[in-house]
Amino acid sequence: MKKTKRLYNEKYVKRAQNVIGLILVFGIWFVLSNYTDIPNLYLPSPQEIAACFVKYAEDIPGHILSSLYRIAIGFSIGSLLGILMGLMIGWSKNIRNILEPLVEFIRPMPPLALIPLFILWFGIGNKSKIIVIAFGAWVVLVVNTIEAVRNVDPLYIDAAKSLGAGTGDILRTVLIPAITPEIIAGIRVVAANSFGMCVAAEFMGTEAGFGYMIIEGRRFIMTDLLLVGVLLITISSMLVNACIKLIERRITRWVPRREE
Amino acid sequence: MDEQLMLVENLDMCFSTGKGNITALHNLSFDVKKGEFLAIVGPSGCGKSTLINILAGILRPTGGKVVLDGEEVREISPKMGMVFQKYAAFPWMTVRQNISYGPRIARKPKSEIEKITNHYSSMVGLEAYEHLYPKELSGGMSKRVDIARAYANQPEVLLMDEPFGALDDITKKQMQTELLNIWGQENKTVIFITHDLEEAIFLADRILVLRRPKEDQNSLNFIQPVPFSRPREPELRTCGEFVRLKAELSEVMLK
Ligand SMILES: Nc1ncnc2c1ncn2[C@@H]1O[C@H](COP(=O)(O)OP(=O)(O)OP(=O)(O)O)[C@@H](O)[C@H]1O
Ligand SMILES: [Mg+2]
Repeated sequence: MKKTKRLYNEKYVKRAQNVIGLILVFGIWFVLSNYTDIPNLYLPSPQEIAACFVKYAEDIPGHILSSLYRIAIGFSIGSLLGILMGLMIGWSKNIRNILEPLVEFIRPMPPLALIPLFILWFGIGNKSKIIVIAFGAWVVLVVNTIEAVRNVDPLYIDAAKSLGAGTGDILRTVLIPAITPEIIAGIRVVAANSFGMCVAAEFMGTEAGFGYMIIEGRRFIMTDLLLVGVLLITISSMLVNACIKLIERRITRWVPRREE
Repeated sequence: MDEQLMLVENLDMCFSTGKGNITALHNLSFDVKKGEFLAIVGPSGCGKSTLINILAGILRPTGGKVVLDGEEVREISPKMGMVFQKYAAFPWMTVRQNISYGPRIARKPKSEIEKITNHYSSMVGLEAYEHLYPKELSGGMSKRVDIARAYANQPEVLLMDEPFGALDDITKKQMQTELLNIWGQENKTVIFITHDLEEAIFLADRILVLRRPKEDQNSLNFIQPVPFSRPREPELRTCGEFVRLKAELSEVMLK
C-alpha cells in the first residue's frame, strides 16, 4: 500500500518536471516576442500564432486532410510492400540472393533526392508525393524486416518443427509474432519520416497541405502562418506516434522489457 | 517393457571446420526400449548434444542411422518431442497457448485441445498460471511449460538435453521428482541427457556412458543398468548403494 503511494507520488513529480521544461521555453518565447524589439517577422508572439489559427480555422482541416491522405496512402503501401519483401528476403535464400544486392544499393538513396524524378515520371499531383512517401517507408521496413527475421532464434523454429509445425505454421505462429516488436518500432520511425517527406514533396508544388501553408507563409512573409504549418505537422505526427504506441502496448505485452 | 523402440546404428558425426575435422561421435550403437527412461552421461564435449540433435532429426549424421519404429529418422518430426537445454517456450504465447501448441497445429477438434491442455497443464501444476507470458515465469515454471508442451504433443519419445542444467539445486530436485511422476503416469520413452551423475542414477532405468571418440575407440563407453526399484523417493540419493554407484561411475568417467 505504502509502495503504491510512493510510486504514485513519483509519477506526479515526473509529470510536474516534464511540464516545467515546457513552461520555461514557452515563457522565454513569450517574453522575447512581447517585451524585446525582435521584429515579429522573425519571432511572432504566441498570441499572434493563436490569432492566425483562428483566422485560418476554416482552411486548416482541408490542409490537414490533404497531407494526411497522402501520408496514409503512401505510408500504408510502402510499409506493406516493405514488410512483405523483407519477409521473403529473410525467409528464402534464393530470393535473398537475388534481391539483397538490389536492396543494399537502393538503401542509401535519400528519398528526397528522388522527388524530381518521381515528378517527372508521375506528374506534380498526388501520385508523385504518395510515391516518395511510399518509397521512404519501403526502404526502412525492408531493411528492418530482413534484420528482424535474421534475429529470430532458430531454437523457436526447431521447437515448432518438433511439435509438428509446417512451413506455413512456422511463418504464422513463430516468425511473424517474433518480428512484430521490431516491425512496429520500424513503423514508428517510418510514420515520423513520412510527415517530413510529405512536406518536402509538397514544397515542389501543391494547392493544399502542411507544405502549402509553410510555403505560402514564406512567400507572403507571414511567419505566423509558416509556424502554424509547422505546429500542425508536429501535432499530427505526435498524435500518430501516440496511436501507434498504444497499439504497440496492446500487441507486444509479451516482450520482456525493463520497467520505465 | 523390453520391446525395442529405437535403434541407433554405427552413428558417426564429423564436423568440418576451418581448422579441419572434429569427430563428435564415432561408431555409436545402442537401442532404446519402449517406455524406458534412458539417461546419457559423459564428459563435456563427448558429443551428447550432438547425439540428441541427431536423434531429434535436427542434425544429419555423417554415418550410420537412427531407426524409430522401423523407420529411419531423417528430419525433425513430431514423433520426437524435444525439451531443449535453453528455455524454449514461445515468448509471444501464454502458458496455455504454449502447452496447446502441438494439438492446435495438428488441428485437433476444439474439445480435444481443451482436454489435452487441461490435462498437461495440471500435470505440471501450472493451472493457476495459464494466462501468464513466459517473461513472467520463474526458471522452474518455464521448464514445466517446455515439458508440458512436449508431452501435450504426444510424441513417441521425449528427448531432453540437460533440461534442469540451469536450475538451482532445490528446484532441480523438485523437478526430478515431478518428472518421474509424469513419466510414471504417461508411459512415454524418455531420453535424458545430463552431466549430473546423481540426476542420471535417480531418474534412469539405464545409463549410457559416453566418452570422447578417438581413432581406435568408439563413443560408447558402457551401458550401466540402474538396479533401484520404483517409485523412487528423494531419500534414495543418500542410501549407501546409490552413493557407491555414483562414486564408481564418476571414477570411470574421470579415466
Ligand atoms: N556445429 C558444430 N560445428 C563444429 N563442431 C561442433 C559443432 N557442434 C559440436 N561440435 C563439436 O563436437 C564436439 C561435441 O560437442 P557437443 O556439444 O555434442 O558436446 P557435449 O557432450 O554436449 O558437451 P557439454 O557437456 O559441454 O554440453 C565438441 O568437440 C564440439 O566442439
Ligand atoms: Mg551439450
